[in-house]
Amino acid sequence: MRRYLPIVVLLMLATAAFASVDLVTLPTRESTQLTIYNSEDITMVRENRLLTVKPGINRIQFSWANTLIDPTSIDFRILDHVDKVDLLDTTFPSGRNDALQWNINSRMGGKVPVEIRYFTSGITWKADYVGMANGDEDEMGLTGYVRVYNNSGELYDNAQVRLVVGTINLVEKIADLARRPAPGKGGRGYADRPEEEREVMRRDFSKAVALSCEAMPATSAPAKRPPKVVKQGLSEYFLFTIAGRQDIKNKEPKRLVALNVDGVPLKAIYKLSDRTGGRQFTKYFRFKNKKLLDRRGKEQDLPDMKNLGLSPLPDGMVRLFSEYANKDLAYVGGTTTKYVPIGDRVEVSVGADTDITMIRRVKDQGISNVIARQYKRRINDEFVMYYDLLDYDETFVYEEEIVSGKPMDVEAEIERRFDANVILWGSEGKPKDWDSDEAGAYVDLHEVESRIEKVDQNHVKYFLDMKPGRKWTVTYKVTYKRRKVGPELNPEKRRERL
Amino acid sequence: MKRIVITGLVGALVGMLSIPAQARIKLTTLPERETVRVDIKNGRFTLVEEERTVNLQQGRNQVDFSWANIGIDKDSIVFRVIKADGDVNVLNTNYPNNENALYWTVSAANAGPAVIRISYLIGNMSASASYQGIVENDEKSLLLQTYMTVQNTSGEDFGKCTVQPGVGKTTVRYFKNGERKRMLASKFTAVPIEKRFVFDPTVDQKRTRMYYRLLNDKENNMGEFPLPRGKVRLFIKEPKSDDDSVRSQAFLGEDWGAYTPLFAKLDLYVGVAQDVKVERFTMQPKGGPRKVVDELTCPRILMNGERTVTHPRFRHQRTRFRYRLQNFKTANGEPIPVPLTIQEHVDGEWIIENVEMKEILGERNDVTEKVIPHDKMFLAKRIDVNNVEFEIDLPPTTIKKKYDLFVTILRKHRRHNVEPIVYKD
Repeated sequence: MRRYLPIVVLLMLATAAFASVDLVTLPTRESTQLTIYNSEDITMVRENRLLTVKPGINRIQFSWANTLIDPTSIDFRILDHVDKVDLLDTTFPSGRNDALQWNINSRMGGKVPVEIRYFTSGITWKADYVGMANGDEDEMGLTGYVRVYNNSGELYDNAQVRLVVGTINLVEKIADLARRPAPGKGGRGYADRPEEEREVMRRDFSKAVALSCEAMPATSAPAKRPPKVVKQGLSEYFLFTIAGRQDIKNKEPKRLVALNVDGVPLKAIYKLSDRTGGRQFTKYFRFKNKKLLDRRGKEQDLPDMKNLGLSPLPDGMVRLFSEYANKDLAYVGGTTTKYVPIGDRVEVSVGADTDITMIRRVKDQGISNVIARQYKRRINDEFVMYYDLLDYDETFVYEEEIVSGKPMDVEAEIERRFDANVILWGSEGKPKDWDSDEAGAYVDLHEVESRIEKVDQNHVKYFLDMKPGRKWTVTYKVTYKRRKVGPELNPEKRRERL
Repeated sequence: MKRIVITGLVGALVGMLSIPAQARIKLTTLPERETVRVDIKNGRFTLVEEERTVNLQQGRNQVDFSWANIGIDKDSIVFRVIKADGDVNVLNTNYPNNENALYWTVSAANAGPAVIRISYLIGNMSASASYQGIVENDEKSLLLQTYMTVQNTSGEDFGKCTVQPGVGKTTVRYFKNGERKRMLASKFTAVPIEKRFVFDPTVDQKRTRMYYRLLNDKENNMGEFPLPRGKVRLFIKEPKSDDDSVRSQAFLGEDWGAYTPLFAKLDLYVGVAQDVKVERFTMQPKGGPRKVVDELTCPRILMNGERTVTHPRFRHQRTRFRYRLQNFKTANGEPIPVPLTIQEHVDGEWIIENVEMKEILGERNDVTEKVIPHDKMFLAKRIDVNNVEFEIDLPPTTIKKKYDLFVTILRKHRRHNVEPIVYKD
């Protein structure tokens, strides 16, 4: 069913009493604009109407029963004759949260363009991508879509649709505000009323809708070509405006192409990390959100829809396919991607890759430099000596065997976690405090042929550029210097080495 | 019926005090309220002042005041004579038992009309503030409009009345019971905004937030009154397009605006700044784990008066953070620097011991690190003993050029020993 928000203008003289109101005119929507946000369930609706006013006080009623409109957001803006027409106040009638009245003071008579703006809930949009990688996995065709979902119960036809990419702060949910009953003792929203009252409200609403629909202009003819998406930066967000007018029907998602780029340079990278189990490599596709370059390394002059790096890529689902030489497709994987700023890199997880294997062995381990506390305990009339280790050094020697079964060169990253503060002997040489007696994980990775990166207190990363058909063996040693492990029962007592 | 009734009982009623309440005579002629003022400024109590003209007889008069279904504080009712021909004095106020009513015994020197004002406190009325900010496209200033929403559930239909909702001044023509009215209370134009990019790991470990900061003073085109708490909705003017007769506005975000006294700042969290990325890592202090705790040298006086030194090991905690900073923000397609603020929360006695800024070029095995001077781009601000802010003027970065900021904070805990003293031979 088509639903429109009825707007009724009631004109009266300033001195007239409430009872003597006259229905003079019923303005229709001149245009509608939807600004849809994807981070929160909020849509800003902007309607332009032409209002006929008379000198004196004009009362305009606006009601929105059975919708998900936030009553606190409804805003009325006079667009012309601002010096002659003033909004005095906005009045919400007793016990109702689905109607209001604007009291306008006019010093002129005639038509005044106004804008009514409100937030509604139930319309969202999402981005999704389809990537087609070539057989060598060094180039990809990327198509980006935006999909608009309307579950608001409203039909918005012939509307300008704009999508906001970004995360706004919202302190209260619009759907909650829309459903909140009117405050006060007599305040009852639509949902709280008995069925008979709801029936009456619905009937009134339908009547107003019918009146409103009569004057509605016919919807635009269907566009022959797919609409263009115009992108524009706005503060910390990006605004995607879909060119032309759209019909956003209830429960009918609409999918539009926002991006269609060929020849995006692609790179595959394989990562293994203790943060994600540390047993299997995960494959990632990397590409940059930058303008495409030609063969000479210059930025190509492509249309906006055919180029990257002109707007951020909104977060969304990515589905990746690989194309064989005979044009057959293989599904590589699907994942969600985060928002990608202009100039940044996208890293899309394609899933676990079994072509590269990692076998980790503990080759040796040992404990040295023990300091123990000794004490006697009586068990069945016998004294037994006990020793508690207080300080000791525990050493592990690891061997990691990495084999690439890929037919091409492969870049791999391995990140390891150590359960103590890491003192690293890596590519930058032996640290000064390598022989320190302090507690910590003393990690010796200096024999690995790679740059060693210390990520944070506990994580160390190394990089391998692997050729096909070669086995890589990485050996490293870690000494955990454990200090003051046992309880200090008698700190006065001198501690001695065993 | 819910309403306030006021009656003037005309004539000299000498024996009135002894008449029981039930037997009081009520007149049907009601003097109309001439003006009504509803003052919600107090926040907790609503004051209603109404003016009426009562015809008084010479000598003693009784003015009766009663109400039903309205929460009037009986003890708060004040009766004042504003205008009368000759002296008019209130002799006494009488409260009939078990009734929402009272009457004043008034003596008048001359017969004739007298303007009286009755003031009382009333319940179930409230006012709340909300704001709408229209930000200019360049985000340098905004138009801030304060709206007051007054809700009347007092039970009383105020006819024509003036409402003072707390801030600003608004005249309302009619105010019925159960109604809510949203009124524009004030308008501040061209209020300068400071746009801030804030990373606070205690609030959000992964994302940088964008805030607007306003100052409530005259220099910044505000400062007329302390701003009450309320929701602030922010809209931004879009660049003017051809098919738009009036500039479009997009919704930027909303936040609760805290109560803001004069000269105070108002910080509004608008949304996430996704182009400015900060990652925070806890690193080991320079010089290794030994440097985590600090060793002091203190004088020590023995029992025999001999002076020596001791080395108590206090828990002087050194924390070294590494912030990986990336800025992909663009304006008109060009990369731009951004003012970034990193907030850290510390406590007790502390100092910023060391700051180092590194430029990281390249990736993977080809990374080169270079320490760069940070004097011009970094400022550590001590907000108070619990809060420190690092202000960084962050230049644009790329995938192959990033910045690493290292900050070492030394927290001094002089009162607590880290461990029992280890006796050495």
